[in-house]
Amino acid sequence: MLFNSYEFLFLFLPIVLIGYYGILRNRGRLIFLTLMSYIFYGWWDYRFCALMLASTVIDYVSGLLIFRAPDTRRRRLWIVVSVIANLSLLGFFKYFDLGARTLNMMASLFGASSPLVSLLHITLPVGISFYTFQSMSYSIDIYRGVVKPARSFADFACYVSLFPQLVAGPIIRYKELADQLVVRTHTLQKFSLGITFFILGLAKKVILADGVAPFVDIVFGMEAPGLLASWVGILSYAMQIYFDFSGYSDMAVGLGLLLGFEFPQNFNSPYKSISITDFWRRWHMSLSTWLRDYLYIPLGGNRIGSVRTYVNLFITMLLGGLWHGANWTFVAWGAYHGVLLAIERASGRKSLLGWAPVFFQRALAFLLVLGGWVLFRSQSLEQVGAMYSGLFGLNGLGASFAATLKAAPLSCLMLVVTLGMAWMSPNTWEIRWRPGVWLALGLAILFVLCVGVILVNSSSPFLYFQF
Amino acid sequence: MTSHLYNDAESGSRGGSLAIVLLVGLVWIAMLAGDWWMRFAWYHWQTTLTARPIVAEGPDAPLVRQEVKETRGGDLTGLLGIPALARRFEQTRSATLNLSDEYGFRNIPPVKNRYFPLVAVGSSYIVAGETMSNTFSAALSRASGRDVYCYGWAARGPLFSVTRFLGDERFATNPPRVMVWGLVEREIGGDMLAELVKRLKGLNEEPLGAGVPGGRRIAWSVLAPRSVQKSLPASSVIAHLSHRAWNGIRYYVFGQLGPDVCFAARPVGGKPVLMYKWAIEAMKWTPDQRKPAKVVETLKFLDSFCKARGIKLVVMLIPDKEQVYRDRLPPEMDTPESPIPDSTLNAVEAGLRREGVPVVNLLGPFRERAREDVLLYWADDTHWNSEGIELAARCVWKEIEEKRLLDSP
Repeated sequence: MLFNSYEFLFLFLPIVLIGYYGILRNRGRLIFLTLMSYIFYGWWDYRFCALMLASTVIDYVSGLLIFRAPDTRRRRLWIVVSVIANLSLLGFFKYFDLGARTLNMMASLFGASSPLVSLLHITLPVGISFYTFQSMSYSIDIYRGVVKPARSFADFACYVSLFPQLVAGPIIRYKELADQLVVRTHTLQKFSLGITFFILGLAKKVILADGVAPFVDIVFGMEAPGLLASWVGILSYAMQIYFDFSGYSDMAVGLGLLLGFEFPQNFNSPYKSISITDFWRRWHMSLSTWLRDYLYIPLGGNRIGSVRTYVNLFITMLLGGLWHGANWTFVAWGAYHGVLLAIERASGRKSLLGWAPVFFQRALAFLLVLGGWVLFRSQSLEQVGAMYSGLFGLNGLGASFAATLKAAPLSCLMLVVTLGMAWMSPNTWEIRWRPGVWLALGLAILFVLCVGVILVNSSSPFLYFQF
Repeated sequence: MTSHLYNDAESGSRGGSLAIVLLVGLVWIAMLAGDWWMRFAWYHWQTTLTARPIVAEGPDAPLVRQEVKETRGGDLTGLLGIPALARRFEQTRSATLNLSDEYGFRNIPPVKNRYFPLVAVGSSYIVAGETMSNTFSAALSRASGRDVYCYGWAARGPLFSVTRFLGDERFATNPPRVMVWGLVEREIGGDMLAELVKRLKGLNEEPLGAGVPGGRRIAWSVLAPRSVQKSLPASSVIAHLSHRAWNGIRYYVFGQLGPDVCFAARPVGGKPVLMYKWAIEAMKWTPDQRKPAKVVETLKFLDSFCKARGIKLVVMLIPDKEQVYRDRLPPEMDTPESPIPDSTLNAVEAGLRREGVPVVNLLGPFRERAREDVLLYWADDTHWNSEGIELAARCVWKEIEEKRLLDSP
């Protein structure tokens, strides 16, 4: 279930809070949270739970075996087993069909008349990329001697499945949570900060991100969007994905605080970046640091010459792109960012426009990010071509799109508001938190507004109201 | 950065934090408690949560006697959500006494130990009627001179009532001669109806009434995540209020109507009429989407299934108001870029006639009557009015008589 769903807000969350604070012992609380997290996850499809359990068991056992291994050779053996098992699960459930489709397409190019591999049409388990990376980092960190194995299977199962961060991050490493699984503080201040974060995140998601979403769907559904439509569409998408994802991260942080956990920051005003390098320090920070520590540095990082550094950056971003989804457009998006990062690294400057005022540096970085979002959002490479053509005016001005804008004044307003907020206002983590009656009142009103918006968009009460 | 924020939190004001927890908590609890209370008190959600008993007699029998005062407005004015605007369209429903039989259906009790040669099944159109004597079953009873049982089940989609009826032990041992199944145009689609075959095959394996001596039993399928996902927000009073508020804001601030309702281009019988936008959208479905051949195949299966139980099926195809008064659609809903194809009802009727399944397509008679500027549906509602119900009953009885469905063995 999603955080911004009725069943989460008015069924699941109250049960979790009552149960959690009704249990006094930490071990009981962790078991309860694990159980509820599996219910939360199984809400999509109960079969997914088996997969998460498998991933949990593999890494818990691997962790113990690595830790207890008498020599380096066996430690290496068990880490290889763990990594292969995790990547196999991820690869099969997320990428099998992509691989099969690609193979069949290539075979048909060489004259094969029938598909080589049948598609399995596997339902992608929600959040598998997140929890696989999390649990894999556990085994790797034990191998590296950074952490010790979890005290018990219950602790580790709770860490992997913890519902606030299960399906959309932030990707939390075991070492960040290990101590908190043993001891957490529960204070009024922390609880109220949790409420603040959750409601602000909810507002970012349901008011701002969903507010601009209609334009995105319309424009990316067009065969040949004009200049106006393309720019409105891509700007809307940039705002939608940022406020959606960062809103979800804020909600995760807020929920974590309600349960006593302190999660790391995941977004830091990414559209204020002065370069693509800077962007990746601010966008989905838990993923970029994960990729840095578990992929880029093991590949050699910047330790073995300039050319190898560029190659490593490219490979890291390419795989990072693939992590986002089983489509070649994501790989292209990763490659695009890899190339840009390599160019920036080669230039040796913080920004390609290092000599210009910060405004221009930010504008360039933002334009480059927008170019990447076209790849990210498009369903196919044909759509990518159509969008780029539109952005460069090759599909004409498309003045008729003005009627669409006029018919959706609220989405226009939301687009202006989100652009202003992304560029000019402090982010959730920068806002100076001063709890008080006025903030409480504001949050209560915002919460009611969010619930109203969620329900207007997700319900059709008329049928039931009548009878 | 991270620890900085959390350190700041710890040094925040305790009183201020308390205010946040108390105020937001109270608002949340009020919404939570209010919504759940209203769900049971107002929406009677428990009747959808639990399966209606197949056999219920004695003190548990859901016998209802409800005196309804004169009301104004229908489902479309409710959806419009702008009271000042709705008043222009609202029609008056006279005060009446609503009854349900010993089994919870809209029939005048007692029905126990009575034989009904005709049964009408379907969704809200079968239940609808200003008074007990204005329902489709009452009208068919007048037209035929026979007892007609109303087995309508509102707001549960096209398949629910027919499946329940065919699984009802009461009628398994003493089946009616004829079952009239009313299918509303916007609910007719090959893929939608195909589910019926699965359900009916399931009935053969495990009759619905089996092992249920009375009282309620939990309908686990209703508690499945997908059902709960849909039914919880849809039965929320906050959702209802939110819709009303949003419709008002949209109209008064942006000058736009909501997504559900539009105005007919011209009045009918001098009355301004509301139309249901989703019914117009459904009219735009192409044959590829509707799959009339699959509809016919499903109904043929149902016909054989009924015959095996000694029941003759009559399919009643009910056109939507928007289809009948198609010449009055608002121009923006019927544009050259998005043209509306011919009604699929004619194709379904032709297919059923080819297969020998008795069918009554109400589109022709309704359009003919509509040309006389007669309103066959409530101006403020999606459902048919007494005129429409009477005409439908006459058409159905004509088919039953012509085919001698009641007489032949």
